[in-house]
Amino acid sequence: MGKNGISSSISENLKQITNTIGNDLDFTVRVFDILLNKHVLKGAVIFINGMADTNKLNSLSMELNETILSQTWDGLTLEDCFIKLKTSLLCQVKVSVGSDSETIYEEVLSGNTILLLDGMDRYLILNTIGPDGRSITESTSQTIIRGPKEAFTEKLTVNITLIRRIIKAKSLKIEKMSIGNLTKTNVAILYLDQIAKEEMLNEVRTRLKNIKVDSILDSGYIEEYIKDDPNSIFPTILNSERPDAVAGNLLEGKIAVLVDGSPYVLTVPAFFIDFMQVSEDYYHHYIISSFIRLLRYVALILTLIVPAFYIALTTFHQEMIPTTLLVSIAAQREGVPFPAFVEVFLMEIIFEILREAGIRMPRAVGSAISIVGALVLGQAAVQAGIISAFIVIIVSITAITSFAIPNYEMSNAVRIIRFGFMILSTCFGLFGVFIGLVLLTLHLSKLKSLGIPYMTPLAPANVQENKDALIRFPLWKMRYRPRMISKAKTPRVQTEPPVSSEQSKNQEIY
Amino acid sequence: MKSKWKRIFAVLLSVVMCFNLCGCWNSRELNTLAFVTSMGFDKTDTGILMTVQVFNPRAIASQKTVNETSVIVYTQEGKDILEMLRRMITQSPRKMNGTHLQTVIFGEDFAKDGISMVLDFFTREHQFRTDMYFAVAHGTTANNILKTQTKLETNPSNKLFSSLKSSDEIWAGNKAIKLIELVNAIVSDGNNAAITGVELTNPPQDKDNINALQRMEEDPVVIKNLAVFNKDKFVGWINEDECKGYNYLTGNVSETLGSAESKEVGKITMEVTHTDAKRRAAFVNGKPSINVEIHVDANIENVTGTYDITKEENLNKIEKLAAEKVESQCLGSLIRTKEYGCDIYGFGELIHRTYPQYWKTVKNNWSEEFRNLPVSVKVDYKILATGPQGNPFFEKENK
Repeated sequence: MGKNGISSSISENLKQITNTIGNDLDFTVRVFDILLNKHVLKGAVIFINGMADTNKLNSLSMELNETILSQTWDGLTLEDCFIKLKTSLLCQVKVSVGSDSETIYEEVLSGNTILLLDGMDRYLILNTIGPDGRSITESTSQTIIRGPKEAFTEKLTVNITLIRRIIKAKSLKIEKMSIGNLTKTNVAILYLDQIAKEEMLNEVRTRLKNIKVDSILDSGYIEEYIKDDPNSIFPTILNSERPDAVAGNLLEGKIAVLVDGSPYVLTVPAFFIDFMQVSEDYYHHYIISSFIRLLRYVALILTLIVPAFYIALTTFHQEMIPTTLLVSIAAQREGVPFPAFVEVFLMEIIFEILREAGIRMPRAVGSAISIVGALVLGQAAVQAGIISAFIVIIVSITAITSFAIPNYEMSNAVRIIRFGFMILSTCFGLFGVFIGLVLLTLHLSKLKSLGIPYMTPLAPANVQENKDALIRFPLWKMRYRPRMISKAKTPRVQTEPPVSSEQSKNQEIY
Repeated sequence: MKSKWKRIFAVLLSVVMCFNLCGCWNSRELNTLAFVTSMGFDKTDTGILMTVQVFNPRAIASQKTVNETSVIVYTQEGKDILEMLRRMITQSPRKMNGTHLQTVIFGEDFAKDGISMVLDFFTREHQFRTDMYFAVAHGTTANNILKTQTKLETNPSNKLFSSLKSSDEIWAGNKAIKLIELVNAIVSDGNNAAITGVELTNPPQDKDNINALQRMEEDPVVIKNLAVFNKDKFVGWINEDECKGYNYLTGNVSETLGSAESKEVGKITMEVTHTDAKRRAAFVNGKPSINVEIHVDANIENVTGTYDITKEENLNKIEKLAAEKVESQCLGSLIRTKEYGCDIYGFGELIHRTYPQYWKTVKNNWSEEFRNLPVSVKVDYKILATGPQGNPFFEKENK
């Protein structure tokens, strides 16, 4: 079995494994004897305590015990014994046979149990991979009002199950690979055969294969490695905590990348509009969803340019402010020691710090920050005349609107860009703001996600796909899958709504 | 690699070059600026007296009552507007900013000498908007008007701006004119400008005393009469009725009051909801003439007396009386302006458009020609509604 095969002597094997793994804190070796043809046949079970599931271990040991004590061993060859053990244990867990010495470590370290038999140069791998970890809970970072509340967990198998439960199609394909020399993190590619494009799939495969690193601790690592334009602040890979969102993307022909240990599943390609949508949009009435979507874009624009506009208008273009508004702004600016830019910048920075502190702080002291934020920074600063009351309003508007952007990465990108706009408007007024907007548009148009333009379907304009972009058309109107992504040409909706307008008019049931 | 850097450089360069395109502008903090809301121009012996009304943000928006006036007035004498405006920095700690200028008031004497230099400044200087209203001080100086505190609006120029605007919309007894319209009227051959007048009634003795102002029954600053201009020079006044006639003739009435009054009818007041003036130029006996057809739609709003307004023929009578009133207003206005020789109606333009060849012969002498221009006015008055009740409640009891 080559030079990597294990030795047939069990004591030698055990010695080597114990030396390599080298601790007895959780590494466990149980040796047992089988009385075979008046001889003692030594056997050993190796596993890592904690990695292996205790329940499975218990049932395994009972089964093993029973098998060993049974009177039917006499007259068997070594090979027969091996097979007998294999078959008897097979009724408890998945069992496979291995002979490679390196594989032992991999299997043991990932939670499996190895059964060695003296004199055999093969071993049994008993699947005892550990408990499911955290149970499935509600999504914490992407909350919704209506729709499935389940969220992914850290466990890859559970996550795949969650998606499979939604898409029960045989065309749902899963490809597994492991990335990270040390972490050996399992990464799975999910896609729908016939719908996902082959070239995109190949691209994902190649990009994942080219990742050569020691460790993958979260899907964020993968995202950073396979992003089209790693230096762009805009996210081009969507992450989601919600199985229904991922399933929805898969059904459009996108490709999901699941990373063991991360409850955030990546989907590629992801376009600008994807970051402004949530799966809930499809669960509400289409007019309401469309309105909310438009609202989000308004929020996006507001959070981007409101502070910049304030600076530009008050320091450059006073003529653009209605006279009565100017009077009240001017009255508030009276006696404020800082220029408008410093004022806005100060408050925006303080708000960002407040926001960051709010996330990192232990829950118990959470209320302290809102008191400090609201009272000290808001009210007291205005009363003390350090900042004007209008700035508090401006900062509040930017804060609230930035929370209306559904995707956290997109919201972060906008947060950073906002400061750029503020600097531009301080130096050049509205002119600077518009230069900034032009640059931003150029950048967005340049971006690609998995080779497809980021602004699809707005920038390579496509009427069909715009049915599900800024606004959402009724479900039965979106007959075809997005053409840029999916290769399937068959319509996904076959019928008009089953209740025709005539039916609802005429039919009366008493 | 080299071409990549080249491209980046090109993009950066084009962005940087963009910043040179923004022209003349400057960043100024709000609290370094004094916002001029009104400007007044008066003639003095040596030149011009410019009065500038600046709002005082602290006094206007303060929660507590401050012992400060809501506006501050600066005056400066000189010969040149920009120079005076700049020289004001020697008095005021803040730079004058004209972007929120709302009203410009000319003293009568100043207007007589011509207002073109002021208009040139406002149209040429970049910082001004074009939506300020103009007014001429009647019987007083612009300086006096700007120094006076007004009621209701804390900012006197705001008051003047709003009352000019709303009275133009619902009263038609004056004419709110903005920069572009004014300049167009002055430079046009067949047209002349008319600017509303502002009067000080019963000026308070103690100007800065707000309590005295509150005790007054009438607001000290009132809109009254209309100043008629020949080119850029003030010529004379026309009164309120004549001004209404002027607005009817130019089709400028959007809403006003109409009335019918006679012994038989009593006094019936109507709200004019819509008017329309069809103006045509015609040639009669080798002489040009103007026909104006005025359509007025009105609703009866108030009936004084016992006249039966439910009858068709009575309504016709009221319509006729009201039409006569409008006609007399129009004719009165025509008589007065013919006296001044100022065609503020744009009849010259009308003739220019209809008979361009003929216009060339009278163009240079239009002022004289206008004095002899026959204008026929026909008023078509229509009462659309008489309100929810028919006759006045009290009619029966009286019978």
